[in-house]
Amino acid sequence: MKLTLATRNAAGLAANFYAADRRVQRAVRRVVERAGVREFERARADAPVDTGFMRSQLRLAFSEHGYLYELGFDEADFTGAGKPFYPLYVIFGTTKMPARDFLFGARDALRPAFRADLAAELRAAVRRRSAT
Amino acid sequence: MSTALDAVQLALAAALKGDAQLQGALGGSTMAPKVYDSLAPATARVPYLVLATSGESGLGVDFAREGHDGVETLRVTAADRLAAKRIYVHVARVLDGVTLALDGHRMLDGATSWVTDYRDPVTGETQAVIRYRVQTLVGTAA
Repeated sequence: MKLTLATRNAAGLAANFYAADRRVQRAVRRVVERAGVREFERARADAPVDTGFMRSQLRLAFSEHGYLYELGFDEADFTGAGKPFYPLYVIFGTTKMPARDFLFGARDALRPAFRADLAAELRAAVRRRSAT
Repeated sequence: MSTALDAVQLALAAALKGDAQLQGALGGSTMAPKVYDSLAPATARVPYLVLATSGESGLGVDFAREGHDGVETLRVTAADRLAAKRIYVHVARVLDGVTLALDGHRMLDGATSWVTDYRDPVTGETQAVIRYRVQTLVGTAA
């Protein structure tokens, strides 16, 4: 998992503090997966389309244990197709083209909901530990 | 009262345009600042700064009061990476840890980070992307 231009969400690694609590680990994995898919769908929907190639190359990758994800683009997908790595130009702009940030914008817009979901799961885990 | 996003954008532009050292490094002045909104005019000469994009979320940064997390993306257009870095040093000096006066909002914290840089496909100039993350509370009371 190493995309060239990507947002990265590692907040789910907090689940490692609850290594003995399989229930919280499962719950955090679900929260992380849901957040990644939502972010992917939001970025895909907001991506400007000309030929559709850039949008088709948007990648969502989860870590082996499912606690973190990356959403973005792999430069090799573009160079392999004989194209410049132009998501940089679209997202951040050029001298002739204003920026259209559909990638980091999606992350910023959805991050509060992710944090709230994650915090709720971790609070529940703390309550369970306190009760035992 | 303006939104947090509007308030930050106005204060950010004023801070960047009003800093004589930064404008000197850009080859401009506080009377003719080289800071542009969205897209620089075709006549603009490097180096210059563009306020590229803005975004915010309604995250309560203080559990007791309503607040916002905002991200402003700035772009430095310069002849090369080194020249862009020199401009970034000034931008960081103007913004990092500095509390901007906001209309109807109170700033808690703000910090810049260098995100990436690339060659402009049309001109070959360096485009350096800087993110400015800022947290605010609604209202001006301490």
